[in-house]
Amino acid sequence: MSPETDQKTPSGDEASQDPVMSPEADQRTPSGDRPSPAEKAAYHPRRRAVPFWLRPPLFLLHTVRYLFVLFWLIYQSFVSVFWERRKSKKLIFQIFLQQIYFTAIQSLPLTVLIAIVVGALLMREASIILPTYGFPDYAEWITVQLVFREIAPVVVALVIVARSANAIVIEIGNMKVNGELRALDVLGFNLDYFIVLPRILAMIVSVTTLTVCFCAAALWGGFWTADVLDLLESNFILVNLEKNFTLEILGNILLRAAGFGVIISSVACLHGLGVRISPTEVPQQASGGVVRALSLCFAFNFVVSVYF
Amino acid sequence: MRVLGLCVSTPDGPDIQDLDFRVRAGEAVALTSLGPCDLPTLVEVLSGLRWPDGGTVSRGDLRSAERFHSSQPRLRSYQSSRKLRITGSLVSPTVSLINNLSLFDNIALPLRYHFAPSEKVVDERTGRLLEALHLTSEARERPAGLARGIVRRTQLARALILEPTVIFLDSFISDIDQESARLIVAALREYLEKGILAVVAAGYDPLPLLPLVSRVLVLFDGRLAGSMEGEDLDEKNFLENMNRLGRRLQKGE
Repeated sequence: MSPETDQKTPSGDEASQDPVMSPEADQRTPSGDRPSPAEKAAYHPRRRAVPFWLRPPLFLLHTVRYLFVLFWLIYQSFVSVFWERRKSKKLIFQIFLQQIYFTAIQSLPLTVLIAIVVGALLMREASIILPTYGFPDYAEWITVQLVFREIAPVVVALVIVARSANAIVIEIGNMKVNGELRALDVLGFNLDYFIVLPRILAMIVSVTTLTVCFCAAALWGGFWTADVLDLLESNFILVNLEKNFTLEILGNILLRAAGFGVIISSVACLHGLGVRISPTEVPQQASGGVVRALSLCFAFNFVVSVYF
Repeated sequence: MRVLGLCVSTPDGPDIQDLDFRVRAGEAVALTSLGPCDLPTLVEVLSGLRWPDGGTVSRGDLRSAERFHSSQPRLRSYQSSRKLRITGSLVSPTVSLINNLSLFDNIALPLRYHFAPSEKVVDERTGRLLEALHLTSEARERPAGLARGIVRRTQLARALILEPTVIFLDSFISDIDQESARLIVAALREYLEKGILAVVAAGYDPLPLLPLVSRVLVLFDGRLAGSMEGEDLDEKNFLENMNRLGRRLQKGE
């Protein structure tokens, strides 16, 4: 449970982009709010140059601290369902639907277009190149593994990070700067329940849905586009593609999509909440959030690819 | 609300020490200061947003008193703090409205979140407050671009929608137009006369609050230095009394 002053910020790596503040800045802000330990961690006093040999362990330490704060945010947002069980679910559901509209519905045309192009291109390459190296029977199988298992979740995550993660950081950051989050806190709102949780749940649903749509568009849309444009060799058959798309692959895709949804939304919320008092921090946190979200998505993708 | 031996360390101004006072339902009290004093921090402690460094603040009757004090366990204090914000509302220029909601939705938001009533109840209670504070014509507007007086009235309406037992005002009506100040005072007086609300208003300039309050507590150097009520709250008498008190305190009496 976080006390009302416990705001979350990214790790101190962001300090190099932040305005340098004097040691006195660790004291209360002009508005009188005492900065939380996490906020203080985001702002470093003017510091001496770190020796080169010390940078990797410091980076590791900051990364571990950042991951801890991130997991704590995710944990608190899910636990808040219990603490706020008597509060309005209708209001949270409205925010949830709104987020799904902005994240999934508005991204759908772009996602389908990318899916058709990527699907058609990779099917063409697979149908032409693999038979020349003696793998005519594996073209569809490798296409399924590559397009649906590996590429689809990552491309969807890239689209979502570019569109929605940025928007979430800016929205929450501006709410923080304008004092709206403080107003909600003063009125007794649990910010983990009201702000963070609907965005995490909506992102999980949106990324999963968009990934499924991507796979469907790449499979049928990509195949028929490549076929109509006469890009495929005759050995490349849609039925074989469909046969190779097993439940195991579907489970793997859904696992990645759900993981990406949690990562993208929680990183975006963390960076949005990390804005303190100045509007100039909002774009800094937005760009930092995008980079962090992408890094963590790729790291998660690697782990799932290797171990599942 | 009963405050006993309250101690608050403040970043701006002297620390508040051994503050004792009581506010009954239907009573309005103003807190002001001669000399530097961090009244916003004091109001945040009284409203439950911050924890005191010493002493006790208790609210409610003897059977269901909600007390918070510095030695309460952390989890309990966090839960109590959240509950205290429903029964006692802080209204301050720094507690802003939500910019992408209309005035109606801003006022109704705490009610919808905490109690999830039907839309009919929401419309009824919000409509009543909009009418009392003359906000009906701006109900569907968003806060951006509206006059400060309208925004303050909306903030007050949002605080009153949960029917709190005590309202804390922090420098709330000293910098708005007279008409809005008059409407705010009239709305609060209506609640005070019904005996269902207590008001604690803090401000460095208590003159606009004199029509509302029955008692003014004056702080100096972090301690309660004096109290005025009754005829002392007439504007002319009040200024004379404040000057007299200021001279006595400077002489060290």
